[in-house]
Amino acid sequence: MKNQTPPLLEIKDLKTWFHTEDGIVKGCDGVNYSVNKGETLAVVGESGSGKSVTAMSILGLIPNPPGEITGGEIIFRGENLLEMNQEQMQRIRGNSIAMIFQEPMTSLNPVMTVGQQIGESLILHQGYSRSEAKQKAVELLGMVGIADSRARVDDYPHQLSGGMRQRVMIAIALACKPELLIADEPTSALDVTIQAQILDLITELQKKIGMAVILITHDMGVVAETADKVAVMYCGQIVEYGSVNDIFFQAKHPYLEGLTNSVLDIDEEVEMLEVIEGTVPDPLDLPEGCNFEPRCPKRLAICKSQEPPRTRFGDDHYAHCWLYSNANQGKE
Amino acid sequence: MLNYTIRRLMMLIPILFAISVIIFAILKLTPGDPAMILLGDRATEELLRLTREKYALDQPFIVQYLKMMQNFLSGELNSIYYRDNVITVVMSRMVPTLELGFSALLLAVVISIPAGIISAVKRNSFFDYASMTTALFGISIPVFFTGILFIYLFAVKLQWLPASGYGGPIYTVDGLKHVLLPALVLSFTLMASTTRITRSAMLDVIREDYIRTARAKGVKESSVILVHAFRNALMPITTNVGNQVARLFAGAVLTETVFAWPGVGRLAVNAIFRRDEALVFGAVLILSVIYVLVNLLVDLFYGVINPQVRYE
Amino acid sequence: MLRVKTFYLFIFSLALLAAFAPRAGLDLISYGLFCLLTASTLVLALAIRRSNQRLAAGRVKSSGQLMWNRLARNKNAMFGMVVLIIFMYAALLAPFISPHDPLETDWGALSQGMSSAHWLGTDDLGRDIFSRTLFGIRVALGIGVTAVVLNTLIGTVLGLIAGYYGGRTDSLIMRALEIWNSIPFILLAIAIMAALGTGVGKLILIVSLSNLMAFARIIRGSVLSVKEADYIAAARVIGISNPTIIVRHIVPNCISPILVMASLSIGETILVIAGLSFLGLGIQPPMPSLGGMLANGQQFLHESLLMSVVPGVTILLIVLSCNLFGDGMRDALDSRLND
Repeated sequence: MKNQTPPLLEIKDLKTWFHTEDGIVKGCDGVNYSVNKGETLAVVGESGSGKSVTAMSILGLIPNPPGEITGGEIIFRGENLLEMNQEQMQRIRGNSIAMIFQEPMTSLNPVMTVGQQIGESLILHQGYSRSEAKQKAVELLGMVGIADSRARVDDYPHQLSGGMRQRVMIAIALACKPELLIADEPTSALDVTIQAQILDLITELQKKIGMAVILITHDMGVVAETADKVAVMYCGQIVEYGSVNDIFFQAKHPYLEGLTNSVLDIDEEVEMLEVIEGTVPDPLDLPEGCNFEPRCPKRLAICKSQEPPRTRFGDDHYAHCWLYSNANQGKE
Repeated sequence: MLNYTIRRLMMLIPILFAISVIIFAILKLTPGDPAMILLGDRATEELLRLTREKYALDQPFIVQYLKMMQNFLSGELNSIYYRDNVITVVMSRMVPTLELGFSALLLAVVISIPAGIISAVKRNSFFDYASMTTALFGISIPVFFTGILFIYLFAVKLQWLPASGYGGPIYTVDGLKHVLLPALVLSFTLMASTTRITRSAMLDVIREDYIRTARAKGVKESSVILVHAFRNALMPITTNVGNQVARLFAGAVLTETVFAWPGVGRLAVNAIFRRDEALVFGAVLILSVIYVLVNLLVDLFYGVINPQVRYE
Repeated sequence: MLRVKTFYLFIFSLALLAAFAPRAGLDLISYGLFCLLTASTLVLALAIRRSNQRLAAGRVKSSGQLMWNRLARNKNAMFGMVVLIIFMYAALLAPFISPHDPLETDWGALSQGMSSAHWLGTDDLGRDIFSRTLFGIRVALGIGVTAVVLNTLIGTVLGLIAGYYGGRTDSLIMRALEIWNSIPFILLAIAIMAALGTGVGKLILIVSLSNLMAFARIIRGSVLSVKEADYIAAARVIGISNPTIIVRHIVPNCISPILVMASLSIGETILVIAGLSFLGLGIQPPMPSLGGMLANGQQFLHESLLMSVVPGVTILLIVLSCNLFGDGMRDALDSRLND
């Protein structure tokens, strides 16, 4: 059954291109996805697939030059973010939409205390005074699981470990109770044991605040555990999109099949690891037709020359692949 | 912070001691009879004998050093030219030198830091190219040439400012008129190098991840640059200014000569020509102490702006 | 392309060599040095030809060549290098190309402006400014390069010893350098000159002992990073003596930072020498010096602007070129480190 209320955030046909000395790099090229209130959307793909570029485009954080959003719409609560000016965007950033990044070790300002960095959003967006902001910062530190928060609030980032710094980042992001949290590979730079803790924390706080989460990751295990919907990206485009069940049990696109196959099953004995042959193409020299064709084990003749159209498989499940396109029926 | 300060102060003592030994050792190399050197042309047999005793000239090096320091600090070491004790002579000229130095430092910082920040933010703009080209010339041009050019332009041709000399303390109008040109000239090289380092430090810092975080929080761009970025760029900028202080001392000596400024630098240089070794000793020692203190202040300032150094 | 330019430079030098042969007697040392320079341009041209041939045969570019390519693309640095080469030629050939004797006074032509007889005018004693500037450049570059070479040697040796032997030696050397560094250069210069007198020799002495800390630190850093490498341990096991290890294995790694520091140093040194000469502490009259000319020029500012502007702009050009070239080298090196 299709959800009747409009999604919280909807990206339509987003194109973000980068003008470099050697040519145009299409960071994302015609991306569509949406998130509903309280939902978790996982965006999966290898490095260079465009997952971060899309996310940064939502908040208007793409450096210009050399980047430029050349087309599409980003509808948030009914308004198109791409038509807003800097001031309006600044009021949304850190306030209604928040983002946390991959490298906690370098994402905090070394000369400001963590309390000041958390409090900054509160002072800026919600009119707190300095002392009120500090108080709230102590609370937030406790909420993200940092012990002895009253003392910690005056610490500088270099006095904290990587896991703690990421918790601080989460506290900063959630300070103003945003409706949407974008988490760009929040655990990739952390130890495996800490990874689980951070992810649990995010899920817990998500429920508490009732916010939506866009979780960017390359780890299919994380996707299985936390996501409601999944968007799979390759070379700046979405190749398959659907609910987490669809993606894991009804995978259609060969790339996705390759991804899920390469995840090891701890109980299985394997002689050789399953890999996807070949490497990601040079972004300056993308293939004509389907971007995945050179590596695809199931490629057809038409895949080389034409980009595959979208094929729907159900309510919210679609893929871009010639294998399933009606126009292809009968051709081999 | 307190610990850091105390540690730095403790390191001061051995350094000051070592410096005084080195300066003493260098001046001990002066050829000729040390007693004659200290007395100049007033030497008589009797005075020579007294001087040899006073400075323990036939004793080992360490004793001579201690005696010299004792005499110096108690005001017994006299300049042969000024016929007064060396500390008095040097300190009487200290104020103009300090005024010149601080004015130059202030001018340099006030102009170069905004210029560097703007150049970084508006990279590759006309302002950027203009300021970087000027800065390149600024670090390549000798300070005495700048002095002569400025004197020609502002004093001879335009007649806006006096060509040389001291006009009184800096808080008087005449004093200000006289210090402006020398301070501008002295500051030029420091201004140039600080502009360059500010620009490059800002460019480095703006690329950092925490700037991205600040923007993602919705912080206004002006705050991102001036609060988040600049506060971090201040560290390499301070380090660089610290490295340039020695050049500032050299520049001050040259500037004082060009503008006939009655400061300690010019005093020391003239003392060389007058073979006034005692005065050279005193002037060089006092100026070295000031140098060490200035470096200390820079270190302490660095400790204030860099929390990582404080919490070692 | 580069080979062609270098070859033309060689031919040009050869032509000059021939042209000035009759006057070689004026200054045999300079003439001899110029012969050496000409020979080295030939050697350089041949070396470039050999490396071009190697490249054509398909060999991979060495890191030195990569660095040079990067440097060559930097227009500012190339400009600086060309200007420096011009100055170097002017310096070596000064005795032969100078239109007048720099010390010769002409009481009939005091403080004159530019004319066909005196291209850049005369000073208050009727001496030709152009000739004096030419010899001033000669002196500045000669002393500057000598001083920098000595300074580099001393700093490098200290850094090598400190880094290689480590422990107490290291602490001792670095502590001593720290203390030496606590006295600003100008004050040391004043003290040394008060004690030992002024003049070129003291000048070179003072400059070669200045700013050792920076050199030593960088070299020591290089040494420390290389010291623990396996091939060093292997060399020791075979029984190669310590000094040999230092020279043959460690030094080549340090050459790049040394080059950058040295090239940036030359500009600095020339400013210092000019400054001391300006004060009357450096190069003594009647030997022409750019700093000395400026000191003189200041007194006669009302009569002749040329007396000050010519030496001033000359110093500016020399130092500017050194800085451009040094900056370029540092950028070229940085990229290599980042690769």
